[in-house]
Amino acid sequence: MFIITHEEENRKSRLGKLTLPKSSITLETPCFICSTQRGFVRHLTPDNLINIPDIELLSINLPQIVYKPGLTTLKRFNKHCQEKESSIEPKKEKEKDQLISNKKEIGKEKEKEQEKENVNNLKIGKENKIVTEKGTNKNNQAKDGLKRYYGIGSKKALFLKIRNSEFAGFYYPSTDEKIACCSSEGTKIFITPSEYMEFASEINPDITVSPAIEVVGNNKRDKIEKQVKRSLKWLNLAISKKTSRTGSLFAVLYAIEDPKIRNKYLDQLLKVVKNGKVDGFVFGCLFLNESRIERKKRISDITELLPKELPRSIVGDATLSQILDCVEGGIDLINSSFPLKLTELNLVLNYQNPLQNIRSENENNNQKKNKNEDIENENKKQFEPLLMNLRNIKYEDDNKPFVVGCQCFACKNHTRKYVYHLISVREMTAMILMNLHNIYQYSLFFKDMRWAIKNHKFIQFKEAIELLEKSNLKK
Amino acid sequence: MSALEFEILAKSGKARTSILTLPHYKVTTPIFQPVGTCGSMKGLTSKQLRELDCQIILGNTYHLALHPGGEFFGKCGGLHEFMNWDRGLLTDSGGFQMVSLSKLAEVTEEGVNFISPKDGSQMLLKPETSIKIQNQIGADIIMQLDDVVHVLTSGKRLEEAMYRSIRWLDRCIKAHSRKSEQNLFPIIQGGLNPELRKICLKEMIKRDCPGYAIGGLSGGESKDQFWKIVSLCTDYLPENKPRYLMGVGFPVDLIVCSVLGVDMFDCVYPTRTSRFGTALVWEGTLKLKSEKYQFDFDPIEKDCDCLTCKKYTKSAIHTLVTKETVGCHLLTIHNIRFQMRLMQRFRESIKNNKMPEFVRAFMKAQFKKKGEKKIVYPTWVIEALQSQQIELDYENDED
Repeated sequence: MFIITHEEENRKSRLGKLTLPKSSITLETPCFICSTQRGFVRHLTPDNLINIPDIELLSINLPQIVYKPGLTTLKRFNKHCQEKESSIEPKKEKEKDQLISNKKEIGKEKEKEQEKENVNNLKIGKENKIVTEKGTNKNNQAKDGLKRYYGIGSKKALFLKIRNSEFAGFYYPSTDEKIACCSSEGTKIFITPSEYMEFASEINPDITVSPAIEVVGNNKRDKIEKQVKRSLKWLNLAISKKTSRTGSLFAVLYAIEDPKIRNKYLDQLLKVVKNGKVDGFVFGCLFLNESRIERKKRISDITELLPKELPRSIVGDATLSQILDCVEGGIDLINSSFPLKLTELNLVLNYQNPLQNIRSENENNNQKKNKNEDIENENKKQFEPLLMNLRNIKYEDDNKPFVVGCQCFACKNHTRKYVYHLISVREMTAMILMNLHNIYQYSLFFKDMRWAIKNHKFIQFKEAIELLEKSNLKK
Repeated sequence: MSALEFEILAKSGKARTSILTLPHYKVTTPIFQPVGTCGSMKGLTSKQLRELDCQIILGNTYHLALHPGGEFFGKCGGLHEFMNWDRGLLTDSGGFQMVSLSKLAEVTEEGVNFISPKDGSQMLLKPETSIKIQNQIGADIIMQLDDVVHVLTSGKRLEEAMYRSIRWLDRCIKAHSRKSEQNLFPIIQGGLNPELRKICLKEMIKRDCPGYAIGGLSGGESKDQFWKIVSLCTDYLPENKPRYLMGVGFPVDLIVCSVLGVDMFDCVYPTRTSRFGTALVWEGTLKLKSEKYQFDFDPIEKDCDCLTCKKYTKSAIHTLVTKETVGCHLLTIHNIRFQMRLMQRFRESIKNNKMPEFVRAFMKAQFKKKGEKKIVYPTWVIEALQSQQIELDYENDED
């Protein structure tokens, strides 16, 4: 369910709230969908992931889990979970009865001891449940599906998609019946749309993207038409197999270069959408080396024709200014692995909210003539670039955290010189700390962007971010 | 002069459980010390180490001296601050890695000549230099530089190494500039020769150090000789001081040597084996890479309280191991927690006067095989435990 909470007059950007009932989560959009490898944010064990707020929606790319764990394992696991649940429930009642009867019989002091004992017994119980702080035996795990299998907490939601082989760097042509993908083991696999939906019902995600291949823009015209027809056929199949277990369904729409084909496809797609079975859109054919202006134009043209009440998402490794472009055009969810890419290049994101300066300026009622000049002066004071390469020897003796004032685990506990040392000796802990920090900063950027939209400061925010990026390039 | 206190809480034969109070932390022994080579445990943050109940970890002086270097620690306030770890730290002298990792390692009376892997230049590591770097790193316990020879060496070279280690110990003690904050442990040498060991023990005990380490073992010798030398050393070493057996870490070895009176151990085994997909459990090891775990939906160990066992099944770890770094981290967490819990239960068993029963149950679980009526134990385990009046259970009563 998607509600728009704030709209702009001159722009298509909007604030909204997306409710995902399966996980009881409400997301504030525009927001960040963190991409995962096999359900794990790379390098981060769940206790490290807890330290990052606002990462509630995680994306899963199906080809990565096609072999391991694979459909059979997931099916058996779900059965196993169901059997466990049904065997535990009568036990729970017995224990409750025991507690009540014990309370009545024994005196006050002994009562307390007995309770403690029971709680302890529950803690060391065979079911291996996680015990909350109050001592009650609540099951914080998801019931079944991939969330339970991979220990993804019940407070996180899953976004299931399928990326075809082109995105792994391999070209295997898909057919009318199957999507060509590249598994994590490096093998060529074909997945049919109905297999995909079968997987979806075992994985139990919150949002499933309709099976489709991303159309590459420079195909010949009839090839594009073929692929567009194919995706509609598969969308109808996905709708027919949609259940509560497969979650909400997002349709893929193609931001093809040629507006004629694009609009023709959109017409047909919107007819299907009117039936009410499609819950959102995913933009395909973007972040494929098109120019920035071209991308903005295509997004804008398409969102013009889309129904407002359905959320729109995009998949691509967007830099900060590219995110702002998308949001300006009306996008609500962005699925990106940009922070991970930075980490693997030993780059640390140092996004310092430029709005803090603007906010304090307005409060002091200092009317300055040229706002851009002022921002530039502020930036000159900042000697820290947007992206810091921690392989650089200048960090050898740097006692500061990654970003002064950052509240992430890495910045609260460790220094730049420590991570410089870890990178030099090739320790894995460096990747953990950097990835944690980069994802934290990236999601902080989204939070600040939402604030800017709410307080009508979007343009200033955008200009400041672009300046930050330019200053980084110069150095 | 020492910077530690050692209080024995309970004894059972030669085995004992004690509190070792170090400048940074109070450690309960017998204890297993995981190895955090270059200032971090592979893939774990300091916070996770604390949650696993690690009390003291090891840093390798050889690697730390190469990068970031002793001078660096001198400026910044030591390894504790550098890696944000507030509990116990122990550094070795750097001698062992030098001999095993460098291309040229020539030992003279002055020190060890070796080729530095950093810039290819010739360097000399003297006892004085090693102590100076360890003083700068600032660990609670530091080790002397000893003349390390392969455990199977015998004859003149072994004797020379043993006497030289004593002379180098004296040089180390002289060069040690932080006696009130760091404890210098000598390392007993002498290979597999009991007579040489006795001479070394006598001489080093004369120096009245805060604690003692048993070195020169765990390098390929037969287990029969191994346990006898360990037992000999613990017979002679003073009772009121901690004893540290270097390089020992397989679970069976830990328990046998704890029975023989050792207090501290270190090994790369649990962390290294997790990177190859092996989990340590009460019954032995599980090779989680194997296909037979694909449909196994139980946790690695049902009564283990680590993060991995609370949330993940063997099947899930099987899909991740050697493929995602997270799989390796999760197994490392479990393996370290296993070692910690094993030692904890051993300590409890001494306190509750049930140490022989605990050892018996552990050995039975480790060595019993399905389908065999009688359990077959390695001879050295039987003999080592018999020397402490512990008899093993030979009947395999399967559930």
